Amino acid sequence: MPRKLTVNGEVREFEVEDDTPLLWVLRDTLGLTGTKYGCGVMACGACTVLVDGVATRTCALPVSAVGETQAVTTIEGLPGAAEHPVQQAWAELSVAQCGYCQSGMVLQAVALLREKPSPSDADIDAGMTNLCRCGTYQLVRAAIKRAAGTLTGGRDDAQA
Amino acid sequence: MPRLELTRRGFLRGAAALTFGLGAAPSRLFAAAGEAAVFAPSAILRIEADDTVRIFMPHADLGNGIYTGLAQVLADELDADWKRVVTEHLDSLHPDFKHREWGVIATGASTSVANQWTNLRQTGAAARAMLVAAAAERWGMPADGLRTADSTVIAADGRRLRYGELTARAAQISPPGEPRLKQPAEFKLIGRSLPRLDRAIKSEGKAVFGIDVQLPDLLHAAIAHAPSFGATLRAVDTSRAEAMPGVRKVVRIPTGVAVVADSFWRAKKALDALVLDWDGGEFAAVSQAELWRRYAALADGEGQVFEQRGKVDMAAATQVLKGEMRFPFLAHAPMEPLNATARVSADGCEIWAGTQFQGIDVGNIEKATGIPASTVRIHTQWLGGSFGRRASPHGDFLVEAVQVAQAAGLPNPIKLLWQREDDIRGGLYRPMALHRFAVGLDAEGRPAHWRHKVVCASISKGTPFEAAFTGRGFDLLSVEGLVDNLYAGANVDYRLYDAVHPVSVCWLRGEADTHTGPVVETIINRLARLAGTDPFAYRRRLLAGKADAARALGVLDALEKAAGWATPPPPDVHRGMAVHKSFGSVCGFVVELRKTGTRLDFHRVVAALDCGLVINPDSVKAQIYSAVAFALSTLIGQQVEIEAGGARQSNFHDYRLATLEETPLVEAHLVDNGLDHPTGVGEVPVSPFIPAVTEAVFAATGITVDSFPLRLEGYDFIGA
Repeated sequence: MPRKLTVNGEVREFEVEDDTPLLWVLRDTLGLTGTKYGCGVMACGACTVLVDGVATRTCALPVSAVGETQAVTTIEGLPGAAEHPVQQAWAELSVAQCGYCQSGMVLQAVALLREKPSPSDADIDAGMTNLCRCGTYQLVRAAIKRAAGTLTGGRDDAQA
Repeated sequence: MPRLELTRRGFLRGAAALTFGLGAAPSRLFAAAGEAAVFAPSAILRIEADDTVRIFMPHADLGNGIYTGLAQVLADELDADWKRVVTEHLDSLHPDFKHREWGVIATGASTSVANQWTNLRQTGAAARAMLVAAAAERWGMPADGLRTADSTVIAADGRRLRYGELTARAAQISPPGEPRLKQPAEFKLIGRSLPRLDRAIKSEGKAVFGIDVQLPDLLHAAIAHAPSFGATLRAVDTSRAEAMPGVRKVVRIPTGVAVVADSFWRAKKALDALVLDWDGGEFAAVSQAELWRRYAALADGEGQVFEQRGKVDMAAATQVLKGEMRFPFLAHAPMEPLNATARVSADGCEIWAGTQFQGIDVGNIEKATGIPASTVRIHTQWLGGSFGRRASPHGDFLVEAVQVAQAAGLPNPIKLLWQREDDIRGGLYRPMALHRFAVGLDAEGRPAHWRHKVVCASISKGTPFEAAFTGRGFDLLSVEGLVDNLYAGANVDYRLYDAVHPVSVCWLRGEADTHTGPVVETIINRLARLAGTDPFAYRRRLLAGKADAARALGVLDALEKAAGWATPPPPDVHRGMAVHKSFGSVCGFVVELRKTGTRLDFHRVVAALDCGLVINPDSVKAQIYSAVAFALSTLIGQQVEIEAGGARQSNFHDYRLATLEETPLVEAHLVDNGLDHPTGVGEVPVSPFIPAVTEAVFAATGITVDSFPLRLEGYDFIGA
């Protein structure tokens, strides 16, 4: 049946079966391949996007469970390594290795920092459950702290 | 040894290039010859009029950052402006892309930087000399007085020409026979922690992996594989699947049944509607316990001697250490599930995929499908991890994609995507291995008598690599890391037992060293305890004066110092160490565990690595962090167990990868033992981390670890 989704600020219309996971709508129907398939059972987080700002795994999330007006943000919806503090930190520290899980990892970090602007190591442990087979975790942790510094530093500047 | 290929440039520019280029004609070279503004002295390097230095990579970047490292090597000798250096996947099977030692286009065994080291330097230096000669010609002055920096030729009088202004002339210059290479003191890029060139695209979701390839009229395929190893398909009822929305074809290929549809989800749903009747055959009754029984029984036999000297006589020993260690099957589980997109036409086939083995894949495709290798064109994509899995000895997932496209008989490109379950259950595992050993000490506490048995399935037998790896009469891929080990004394008897079963096996990051290294280092740690000697001092005593031991000794010194080993740890901290040579490099770890009641946590992890001359220190350190997570997974639950002839595990819920929370921070130290060239990195630290942890576990708990993953009764160690 015809459906609508709000993806990266744009209303997109398409037709798929109701049980189609949001992941495959994004990838195969809307051509947004930055969101990755890793396991199909919501165990790895490669398929993470933001739904109304909340990190959400999409590989087993039926598209019918996402409201037309809910804001879906994929990696393509972030402004990029030159502008977004998280992507900037990721690039500065050369976090990515193969890079496949990193779209999900970046969006998970964005969601974490929204909730915890100055996350402790324990917050990062609890918040970053995405799997990375390349083992980029040490640099993921460092990049989150760097981005947190930029974000909170920026806020201080704005207040000054 | 690396050869200078530039002398073939003129030859290759001609039509003869076709005879070299497996796959489609290297059209870029022809185009380059026609475009005056481009200087392309080899298939690897292209300098453009806008000063872009475009480097086509002879090896796949599996995530380890070698695109950046290889570019640093070439660009340094070229004196290129680093800001204008761009890397590209190789775009043909031109011979310039061949592995310099293997003679085929392939990536593996942690050799990418090491094998290209001289070749890329020569390519950069020769191109630089030709650009300088072009400037000299233009200015009418001798080339001797000219220097280069940041993609610019500079005359003594201050006149400058950018490389981009010289491309047309440089393309007419004859390449120098022996270009002068820099002295290490002249390096400007080599040795620097330059940020990775792929850092932005991989933070922005813009890297195009095989799974992301978009083509006009693209169709998607999912495949049903046998549920157990060696099973054959008796019958399939496709009627329900064929009636489902979006389904275009259901095809049978030798390894399974595939559904081709207009989206992956529709293909998968229809796949689930297939009614498949498999004949499991004999192996369907086999369990993991039964496999271990068979391995143990094999070890009771004579086996095949792979190293022997002196006369092993335990009666002559003062003490004897005996043991048996077991290692399970491991799946590579790269985060990007295996996939390939294939389009077959009367003219041949095109493939879009991430692969380590382009030069070998085309031969495997010809063998399996009859499509001549010379008409197979592979468009290399970014690889979402590999760890050896995308170096498939028989080209499995690429071959399947071509077979599906062939069987479908459609003009469309078809993307065949394995589900995660296909990957975990699909074989090509790190072989399970059983080690049985008895080591007798002499009066000085040294291993004077060493008997060792390895039971393992051969990786190389029946593959195109059999001859390369069995040259010594046994499969080196089963015992590398044990054979020729430097600790053993005068009397040695090592035997190999080839296990034969339908579970397919393959190289996995760290290769045989993932079991031989932990076994040898565990033995040495236990012997040190028996001898009542500190493990560093014990190793030094065994290695002292031995040829080839200098780098290991250097790593031991650096590691001991970095870890502060001389200072005893606090009472609740327990530590272990290990060091292992592999892939031409030496790596050691000190692991400290903190024990709180029955709970064990990582307290500190210190690594020391001698990988020869370091191209990019931060990139090397990232590989050490990476290898620790990789090795940790094998300690804390990761394994594939055989059940009813198939894999018991199927996805990340039961095939464990270490998480961010579980993975310790690593203090990584790079050790300079004076080597003037790079050696292996990516796989090297996997092996020694494992026995360093198990030794710390023993120190903390008294539990002797003999099998993997760990089972620590009464303790809580990351769930083990």
